[in-house]
Amino acid sequence: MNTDVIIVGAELDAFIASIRLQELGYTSRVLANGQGSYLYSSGNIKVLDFKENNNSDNKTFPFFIEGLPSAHPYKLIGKDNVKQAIEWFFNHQISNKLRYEYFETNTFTISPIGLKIPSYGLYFNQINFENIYNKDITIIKFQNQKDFHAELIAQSIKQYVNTIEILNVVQPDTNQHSDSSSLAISFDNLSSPDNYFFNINKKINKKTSVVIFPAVLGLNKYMEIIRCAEKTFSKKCFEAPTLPPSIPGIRLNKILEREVLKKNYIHRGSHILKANIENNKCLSVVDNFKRIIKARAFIFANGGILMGGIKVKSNGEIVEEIFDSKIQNNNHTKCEKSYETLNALQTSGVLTDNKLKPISNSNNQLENVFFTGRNLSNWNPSLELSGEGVSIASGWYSANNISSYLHD
Amino acid sequence: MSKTNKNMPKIIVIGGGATGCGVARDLVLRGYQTTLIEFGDLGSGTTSRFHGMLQSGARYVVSDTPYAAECFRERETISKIAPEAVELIGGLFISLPNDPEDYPEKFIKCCEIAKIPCQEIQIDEVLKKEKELSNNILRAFQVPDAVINSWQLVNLLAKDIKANGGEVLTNHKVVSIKQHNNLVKSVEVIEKNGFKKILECDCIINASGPWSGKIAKLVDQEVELQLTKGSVMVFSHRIVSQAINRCRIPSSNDIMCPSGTVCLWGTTSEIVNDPDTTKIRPEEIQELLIGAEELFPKIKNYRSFRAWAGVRPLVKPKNFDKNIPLPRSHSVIDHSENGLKNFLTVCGGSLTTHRSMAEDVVNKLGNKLGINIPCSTDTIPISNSKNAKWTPSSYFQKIENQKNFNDVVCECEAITKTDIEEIMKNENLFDFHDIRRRIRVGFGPCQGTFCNSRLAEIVVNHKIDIDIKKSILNFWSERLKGSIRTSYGDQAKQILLSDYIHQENFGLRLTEENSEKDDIRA
Repeated sequence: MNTDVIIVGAELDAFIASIRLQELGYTSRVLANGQGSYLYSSGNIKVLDFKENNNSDNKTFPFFIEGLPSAHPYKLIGKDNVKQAIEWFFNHQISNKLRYEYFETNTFTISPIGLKIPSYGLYFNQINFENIYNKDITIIKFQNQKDFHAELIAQSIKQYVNTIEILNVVQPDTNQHSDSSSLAISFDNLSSPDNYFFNINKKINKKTSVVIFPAVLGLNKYMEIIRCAEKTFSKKCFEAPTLPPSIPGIRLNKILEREVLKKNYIHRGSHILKANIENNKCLSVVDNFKRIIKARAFIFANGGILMGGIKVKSNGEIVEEIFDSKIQNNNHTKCEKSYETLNALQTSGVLTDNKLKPISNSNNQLENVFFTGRNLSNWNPSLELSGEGVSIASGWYSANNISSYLHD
Repeated sequence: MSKTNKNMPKIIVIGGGATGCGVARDLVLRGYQTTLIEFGDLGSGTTSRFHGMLQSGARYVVSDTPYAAECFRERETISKIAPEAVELIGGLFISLPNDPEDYPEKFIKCCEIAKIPCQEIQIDEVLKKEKELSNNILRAFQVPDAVINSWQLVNLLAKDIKANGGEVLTNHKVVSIKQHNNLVKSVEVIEKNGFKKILECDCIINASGPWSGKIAKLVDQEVELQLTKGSVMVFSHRIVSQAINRCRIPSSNDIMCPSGTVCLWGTTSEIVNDPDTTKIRPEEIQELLIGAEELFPKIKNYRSFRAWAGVRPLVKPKNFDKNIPLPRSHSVIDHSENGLKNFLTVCGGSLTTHRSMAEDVVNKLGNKLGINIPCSTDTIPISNSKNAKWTPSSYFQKIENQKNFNDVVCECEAITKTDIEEIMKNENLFDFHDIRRRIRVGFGPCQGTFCNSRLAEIVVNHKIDIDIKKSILNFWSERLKGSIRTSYGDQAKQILLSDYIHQENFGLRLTEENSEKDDIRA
């Protein structure tokens, strides 16, 4: 079990770090308790809501970073590194496989309830507001599909479009449940999509120019399926996100996982309980199977409070248990209002130096441990809409830092 | 068929909690023309903010034996007339090493006097049944405690009131009461949508619980109440299979009570001045957890997904002694002693005794008016479904039987789209909370994380004109308000997941302006 780097967590930042390390010539093992938070994402890449939530004068990427508070992960990583990381991601073959489309600035995608979400990158044929202005829209809804809110989307976007209607259709396999995963699997198994879309086409209003499907058109074959629909309808077809679990999130997860598995390993069900430290160096970690796993460097990408990388004790204390790192605790229990409590919880996390190495409660500064993503403090992914951006940047950056550490 | 009689006096009942609904039902069954006025939704005050027990009386058996006996009689009656709202789970009284040694003997003796069945059981037998209990227990007693679904109860009562010709006005605030020659004549109310109206009456019964003082003030009358705030923590899953009490004089931190799919631990007790004080301080949560740990050593490992507080309206006796606990029994105040001839206030008591309180006040009203019609609420069932009972699994069983898994909207409580549509068809509802209170959607461990937008979709589908963004945000922020008080352990994860979905995914923004405004009572 010789490996250069152990990565704890199966989040976006963990896989990005592993893929980047591989590029730099290092092997890694991903140890994950379970699934990452992709399942809850909409699959688009949000970098920062930099049009509205920012004090910087220059509101284009990556200059918007200048307006953020000084301890923000983007500030620690640095403007130029963030830019490089994001460009690296969109130029990498993983993005190419998902046909991610990215812009010089934010574009507005449509949320599962029809509101605007500023995103920097969109997955293949994801609906955004540019596609619908003054168009005649048909939204397809599968019978009994409770996690796609066609009515809510229609209500919310009707002010921007020319006409909008909802078409209820029968799902490809009526023996299946109508949750997103079952629908996606039945699209993958569809022997003749042409026939299926041909029957739907008969019911679509002739005037319609844009058709919106729920984002469930297959886990693997979705590109073929969407193209087939476009060909059959002779109309533009897009996918709009559903309530999580989200199929575009699972697609992204799969592509990343396959890329990692080319040269590395992923161990699921492994929960790290402690680390063996000597002379300011972490030598190995111990998991719930009592396995001692050695490596030369470690990345903790296990998702902060949301995914359990950081714990909140019953007395309100926030702890990172493996290294007893210094924590930014914004006293959520003292907050009066819900939105303040949420913000305090979100912005609490591990304090690191500008290489993303944790600052320890004791005076011993660890040399070979790095923290990424939601483990980091002083950022709020749900207010800034920066979840994927910080994950990509911190994953990529920690891999680079490990490379220079191991090289020295 | 309507039982109300056009020749009978017109009575207005103020307050739509268990007491008010009980009084109104008693009135209509005796033929009075009855109108019930409730400020918010039925049962949205103290009725829904307690630990959910239908008391066997054992809890108060030593401190207030006559009241305990009344509780037991009422427990028997309520479980017969409203089986749909009651689960007969049984209860245990547990004596721990630091509890007073002589209490168990007093307890047994008083149970005998109050005629409450009570049986001591072996410790190892108790521990076999209740695995989470501390091994340190000294003695254990079995009593016939039960739990009650208070919303189910008030809605059944309201249905019966309407079926018998009474009127139920929810979301109506009492603005003023007009009087003439020492008699109340009419009540001015304002609807949620701002519409005002005047309701004439021959008599008013004030049954507004902790708000009784405020209502009485409208007619320059006084109701001396001791308001105490009690906070309750909700734990996901049923950690216990029956109600577990400490075997000591009732005080703070001594009941764990299963309710539906969850269980409730309570309560604290703190004197307050304002009946609308329902905020929970972080120290209260710590106090509750420390108390719970004595009985359940592993309690901190369990997820508590919500905490709430309610205000108990206890009656202050005239010669009030600070050293003895206030009596729990109710009182009826006839304000004619202070110059108002047709205004009665009923207060104190508890949900368990709401029916006998109603019987008492309506009897007194009859005496005043010279109308002698006997009470019948103890024998006539509230609903007609004979085999109905409330079990936590009843909704799940329904889905299993009908195999309509695709239809489930709220996975935590197993509520289907059909259930929700049924409710919307039959009732005049204002917002998502009104649906929630009737059908428990959004009540479970995820606290509306996943059913919020589904609910919005159903409402919009019914061509009801709502502001989608505002409604979803309101529902979320209201659920959040209670669940954020216990943001530790796995609940911290759950809250951030809910935040992830509502803000990152849906694009909603919880801000100072829209956070927590949607208080149930405000």
